Amino acid sequence: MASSSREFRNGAVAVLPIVGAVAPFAVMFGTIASQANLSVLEITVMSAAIYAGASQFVAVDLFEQSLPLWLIVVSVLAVNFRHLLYSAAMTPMVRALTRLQRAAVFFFLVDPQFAASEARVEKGPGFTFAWYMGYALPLYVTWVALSAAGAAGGQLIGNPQTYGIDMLLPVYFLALVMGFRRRSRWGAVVTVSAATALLVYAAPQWGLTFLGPPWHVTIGGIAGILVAVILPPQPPRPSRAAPDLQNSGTAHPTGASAS
Amino acid sequence: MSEGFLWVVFWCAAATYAVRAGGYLVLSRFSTIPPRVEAGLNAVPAAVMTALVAPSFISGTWREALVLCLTALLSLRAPLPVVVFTPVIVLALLRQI
Repeated sequence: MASSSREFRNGAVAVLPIVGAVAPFAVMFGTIASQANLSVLEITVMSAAIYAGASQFVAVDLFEQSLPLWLIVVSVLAVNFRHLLYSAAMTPMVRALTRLQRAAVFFFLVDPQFAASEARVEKGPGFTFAWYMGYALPLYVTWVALSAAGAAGGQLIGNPQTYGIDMLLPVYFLALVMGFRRRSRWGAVVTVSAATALLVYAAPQWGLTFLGPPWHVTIGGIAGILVAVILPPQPPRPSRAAPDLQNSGTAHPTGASAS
Repeated sequence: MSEGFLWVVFWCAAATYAVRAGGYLVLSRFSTIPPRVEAGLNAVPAAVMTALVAPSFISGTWREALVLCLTALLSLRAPLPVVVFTPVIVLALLRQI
């Protein structure tokens, strides 16, 4: 197994493109929150304590409308409910960690963090605490620091739409979804999840105003998970790496001795 | 810092941490995970990430939809950095048109 510092570095390198994608949103959050008459300190503390982008936008929006506290908290729970599924799915990865390490893992459990962890287990290197923190800390520091910068009025980064940066996260998530395609019932899970999410997302157009975002994430996700629970499991399909392994495994002994 | 906003931050942070730890706290009570539950957990990343991304296919212009299709195609062959950056560069170019 690689050393801890090397694992930390691997994580930090892997997160770099995501840091680039999150940066403009952090500035945008700080800017929007300061327009809601929140101070730089308030915005910084909020990003540092909650660390959940989409739900922070929601909380600021509702706070500005002077809605009651419980309604703000329930809305934030609705946006963040998917994290319950993430931490459940990560149980086998974090079981061997110490209590304190697990507490840290859950604090930093944002969408790309979870998806990258699952992908790393899938690809082989496996889950290590050092790798996880190497991925987590640059992202966290960026989120907090650039929310503060945005709040302080620094339009550091122009409109993310000018470049393709606003689509970097959807593209990254889609690439990871495709990376899970050898998992049992993947096709059915993805189809049902996408169809349900789109229906829930578009539901307000048909008068169902209690649906719509952010419910499409939770409801679509749960629909996809139920498919995997209900259908009998598929035997794992051979991955693309398998034939290569076989070739090297059956390499002629003469070839091996020649090296 | 206004006291009202401080409470908003406190409770939203507590609620967010509770859901982030909650799934593990429930699951760790099982000594063995039932096969159906395991099948469901195995599907979590694909199911939730798909639900997150799905609206991006319809909420933008044809450019965003096209670029997402390109991502899916590339991911069948290319390594992750290529899969992620090619569509973003293509999108930046398409928006100049």
